[in-house]
Amino acid sequence: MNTETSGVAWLAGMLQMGDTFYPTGAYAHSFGLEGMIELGAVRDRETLREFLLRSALPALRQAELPVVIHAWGALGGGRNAEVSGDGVLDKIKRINGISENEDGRRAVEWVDWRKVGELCVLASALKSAKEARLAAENIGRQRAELAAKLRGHPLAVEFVRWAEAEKWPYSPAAAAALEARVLGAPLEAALASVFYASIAGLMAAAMKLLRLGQNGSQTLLTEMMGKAPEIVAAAKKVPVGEIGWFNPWLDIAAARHERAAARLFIS
Amino acid sequence: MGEFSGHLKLRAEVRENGKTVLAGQSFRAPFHVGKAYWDEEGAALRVQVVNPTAGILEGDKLETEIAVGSGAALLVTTPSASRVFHMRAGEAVASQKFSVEAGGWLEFLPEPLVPHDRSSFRQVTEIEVAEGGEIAFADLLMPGRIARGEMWSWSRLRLELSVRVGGELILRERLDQSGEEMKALAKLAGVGELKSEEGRGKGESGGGGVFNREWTRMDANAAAENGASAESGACCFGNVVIVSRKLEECGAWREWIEALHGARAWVGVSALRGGCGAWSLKIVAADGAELRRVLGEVREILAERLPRMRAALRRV
Repeated sequence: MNTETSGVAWLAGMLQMGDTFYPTGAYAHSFGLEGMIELGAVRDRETLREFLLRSALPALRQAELPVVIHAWGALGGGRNAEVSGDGVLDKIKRINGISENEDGRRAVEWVDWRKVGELCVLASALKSAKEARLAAENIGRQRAELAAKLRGHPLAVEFVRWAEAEKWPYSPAAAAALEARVLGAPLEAALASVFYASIAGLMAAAMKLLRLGQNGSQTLLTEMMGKAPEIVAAAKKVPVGEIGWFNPWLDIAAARHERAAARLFIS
Repeated sequence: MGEFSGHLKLRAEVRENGKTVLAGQSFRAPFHVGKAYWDEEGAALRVQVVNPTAGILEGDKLETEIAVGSGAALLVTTPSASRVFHMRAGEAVASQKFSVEAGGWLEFLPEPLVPHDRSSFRQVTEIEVAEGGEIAFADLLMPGRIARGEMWSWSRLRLELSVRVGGELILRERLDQSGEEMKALAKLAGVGELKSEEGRGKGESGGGGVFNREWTRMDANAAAENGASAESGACCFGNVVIVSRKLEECGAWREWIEALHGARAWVGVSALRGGCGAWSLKIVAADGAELRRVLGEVREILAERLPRMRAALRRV
């Protein structure tokens, strides 16, 4: 496979995994937004914009994206947190001169599974609200299991085996890193994909919960996408010990939402 | 300006008569430990930690280690708020480690942290609870010197909390915000934007949220009595972690705590990971008095299941 066609392959794969048609169950969650609306903090486009700028983007910068970055590194044997144009399989093949059939199995040998497990636990421990935590774990499980089932890649199969054996909580961020590794996609693609999916997921929920039209949501989404480079650059500088960010109002809203008598979304 | 490298080390153990004693204690300024009292009602040893200096200053390095042995019960309080003073360039750092062995009980309920204008403070808290141990840990935060109108003006505040039960990480929280960033979050929640009667029902965007939707004249009067006004933009935080197998099941206690949520305080309760009876309780209150009132009610509610919480928080 030459460089051009392999780029098309991972891009096509990422488009599939990032599509709303991909059955991760994410569509059933508002990721705390419904709770913030219920409590009157988010009421319209302007307050939604503030929520995205003041809460969603910092959480991506300081929590979600750094987990992707460190999981990416651990899944590649801890060799890089740097952005590379190559996937781990390309590297292995280049270094070891191994065949296409062997590359998946070799990739498994490079993985720092202990660190992957620690990151999965950390990602779960970052969420104090039970339902938000379980929602994330269900999405992470579905993504990892689909990667194993649909791709049959040894790295994904081994990830699921480890997670089950060690009772790791599944993490969507770790699963995103896994997907990128399986596809041979660069780290930046994984980060951009997580960034887009997070903001677009909130926007999709917002359109059901607020008086927000197509154009109003797309202009907001476009504005937030413009922030992606600075957020990703900042996330790359976050060491494991500094992962974490929280908004006390959001945590309270999420905790109350899990006991709400009526609601549209699960979390 | 004096800099401290102070430490506080306490170890509580149970004696044959069932009472808890301080089997080990060591402290150095700015910490001072008052005389410990046995609280019959809560069957816990009450210890008050005093900071005889003005507060926390630039360059201070404070270390706290509190350990509770099997069967011992300890309540640690402070008599007054911890003020973090203005800093020119550096920061102050506090490291706190708490450990509770199986069968031990620790309640840590200090008065709030008050970060002053241009202060920079980092607090790293690590909690280790053995399987079968119990803890109620609270971390309270004021937005600044409310009565002076000095709020949200600290430079950087880092509050890092890790909780492990039986060696398993069940919670990692990391607040790392400038005063301005926190103020923006507070404003998003509606703090400091009193909604006018005129604006109600007209679809105006400003002024919804926590302390405004149901803000009444009574609330405004109460706030004024506490040195704040409806427009002051104040709010106070309570972050509580409770670990006890006696709270494994959801019960009426949770509903009662959730019912404390209202116009002047947001209250949320949720189970932490691990299935070990660990809970997160978060409170955002309109002022310090309201925060204290809610916490007092929480202690009363939980004392039904956790009788050690009947110990009085007597201030000297």
